[in-house]
Amino acid sequence: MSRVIPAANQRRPAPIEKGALGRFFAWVGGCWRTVIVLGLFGVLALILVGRAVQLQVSEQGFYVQQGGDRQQRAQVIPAHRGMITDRNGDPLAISVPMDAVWVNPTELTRFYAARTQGSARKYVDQDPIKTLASLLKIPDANLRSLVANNRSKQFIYVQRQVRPSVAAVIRAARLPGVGLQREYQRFYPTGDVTASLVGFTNIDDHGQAGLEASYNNYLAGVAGRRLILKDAYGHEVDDLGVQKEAQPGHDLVLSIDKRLQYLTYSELARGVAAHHAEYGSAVLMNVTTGEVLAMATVPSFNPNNRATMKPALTRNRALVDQFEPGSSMKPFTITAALESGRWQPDSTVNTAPGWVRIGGYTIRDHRNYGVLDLRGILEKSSNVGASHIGEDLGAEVLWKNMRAFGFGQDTGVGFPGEVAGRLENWRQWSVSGTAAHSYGYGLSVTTLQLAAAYAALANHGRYIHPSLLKRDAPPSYVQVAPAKDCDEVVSMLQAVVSPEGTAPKAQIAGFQIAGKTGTSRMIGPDGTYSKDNYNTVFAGIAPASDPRLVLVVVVTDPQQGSYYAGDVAAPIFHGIMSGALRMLNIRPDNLPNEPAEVTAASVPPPSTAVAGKKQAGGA
Amino acid sequence: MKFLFGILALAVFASALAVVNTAQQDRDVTRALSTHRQAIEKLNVTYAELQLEQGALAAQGRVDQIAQTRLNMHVPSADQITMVFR
Repeated sequence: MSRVIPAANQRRPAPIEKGALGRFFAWVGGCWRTVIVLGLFGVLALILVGRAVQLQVSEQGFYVQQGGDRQQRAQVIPAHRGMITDRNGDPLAISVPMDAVWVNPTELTRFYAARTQGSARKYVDQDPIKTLASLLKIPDANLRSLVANNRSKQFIYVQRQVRPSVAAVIRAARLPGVGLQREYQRFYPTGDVTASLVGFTNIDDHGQAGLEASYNNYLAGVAGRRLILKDAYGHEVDDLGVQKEAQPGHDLVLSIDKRLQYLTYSELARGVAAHHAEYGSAVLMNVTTGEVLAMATVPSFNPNNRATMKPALTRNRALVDQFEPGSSMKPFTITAALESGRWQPDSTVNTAPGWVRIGGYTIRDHRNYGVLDLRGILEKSSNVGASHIGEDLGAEVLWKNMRAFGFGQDTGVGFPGEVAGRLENWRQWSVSGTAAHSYGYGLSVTTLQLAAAYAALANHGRYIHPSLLKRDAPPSYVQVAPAKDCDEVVSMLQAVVSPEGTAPKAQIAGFQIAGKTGTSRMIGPDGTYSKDNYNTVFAGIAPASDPRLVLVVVVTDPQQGSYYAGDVAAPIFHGIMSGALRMLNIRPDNLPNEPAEVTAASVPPPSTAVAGKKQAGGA
Repeated sequence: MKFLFGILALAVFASALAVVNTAQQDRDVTRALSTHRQAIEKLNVTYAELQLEQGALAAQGRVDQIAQTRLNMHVPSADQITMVFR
């Protein structure tokens, strides 16, 4: 209202009685002290409200964060490494929680300085280094010098992989400058029996060798993080949500059977020791699924003790070492011969006079075997006979056949350092090379490759890629040779374990066994074939009438006694396979006195049965 | 009108108390949860140790040795076995 008063009238005193503002001024004039006090209070209140707004609204973020820093804690959600188990769930590798003990040298140095000055009087009777040293059972002086030498550091490990029981005592002691950190240690209950296959991890739980390395990402767990709120007593009072989900490691189920693995390893170890051999490997496979039931390497190592580990011993010889298979390749030459249609099971080869010159090289048999049929070539392991067949078939046919059975190719088991063997293209084979390939020289294979190829032979010509992991579904296969030819070869291979064959020691009472020996000269350091160092192989199929298992035993450089595969590898095969057939309850297929129908009630008393079986098993 | 205000004021007061109570319950439950989590962790540690112990005690080599030396057992030879077919 005063605004509408014309400028000319402004100097005039405003009429008191006009307008609310006018009345207010009049009232102030009457009690101005009250107004000042009230006004002051009003301003103070405004300041308080403003400050409150400032704290609650404009600077809220800062204080929330500050409060959080004092009360919130990031809690680690532990995620441990998955187990490795055998096919029945028995652990082969377990992670056990442990604790690492660390100290903060800076804090400890400060603590001792404060203690000597007496400013921290209540700690005067405390000696964290001495207490810790006695709890960890390490010399007091060592720990003292460790702290003294790393005075400027904030973190240093004192001891890693401390048992939880010891760690709990250290935690309860609440020593200043001493902390614990959760970590995991890997244990291998089966130790050296599975060591070369399972491999091992380093101290930080990362896979270093074997399946631990190749499946590291699958096994490894990723620790998560959760935000929590703690009260003044250190109790967790609120869960503010998970920042990062923990991803526990997956368990890896292998195709290995722990009992069969132990049997394979111990029999192989005994054989290798008895023959003073350099090393040996063995692979036991399930014919119909391609699963590896046992894979052993001798000598082995103890994965639970890193101190005794030698790198040379950690090799998985069944996968990373290749060798010339020698005569154990002959069944595939015969398969190719039958498949070509040019050869029949009763076709004969004249191997006289026990040697033949091909491409400038002389190929020899042990003696003159004269005229042999295909079965005879396998039974006597005639190099001359195999060379004649190889020459007749030609390099291309042989090569295609070997390729089909998986030689010279990766088996696909995904093992670190696995080699694919060596099989040169047939165009590079010389005339003598073709002959050499037909009896297993000039190419190199791994134990697993040989086992997979024999499994294909036993499985009616169906090649299945081998697997180190348990298979749930029946695997796909490739028909690499006609079923009837493969069955024919398997039946021929039974002659090898007959008393006239090269490996009678591989015979197992009650079962028909098919198999083949291979004794090959090793290439010495000068690049020529050695006369003193041999590689012996026995590859066998059981039971031959309905193949279930394939076992390949390789013993390298036996120095004690005979060096023939029939005397070195075949007895080991016998030991492993007879045990495996018994453990897997596989029905014997070679019991001449087997009654048509026997029930438990009509089983004869043991004494008479013994007499009957003894005659039966004499073969 | 006054009556309605009274009711609302009471309701506000009651809900405030309920909030306090719920917050306290939340804390109690959270604390219980964390105790249980620690218990789970402890049980996991124990389980892993027990598995390990079982693995060591049931190791094939040990079983083999005890069976042969202490229990005097052996693998039956072929002529000691009677086959029962079904």
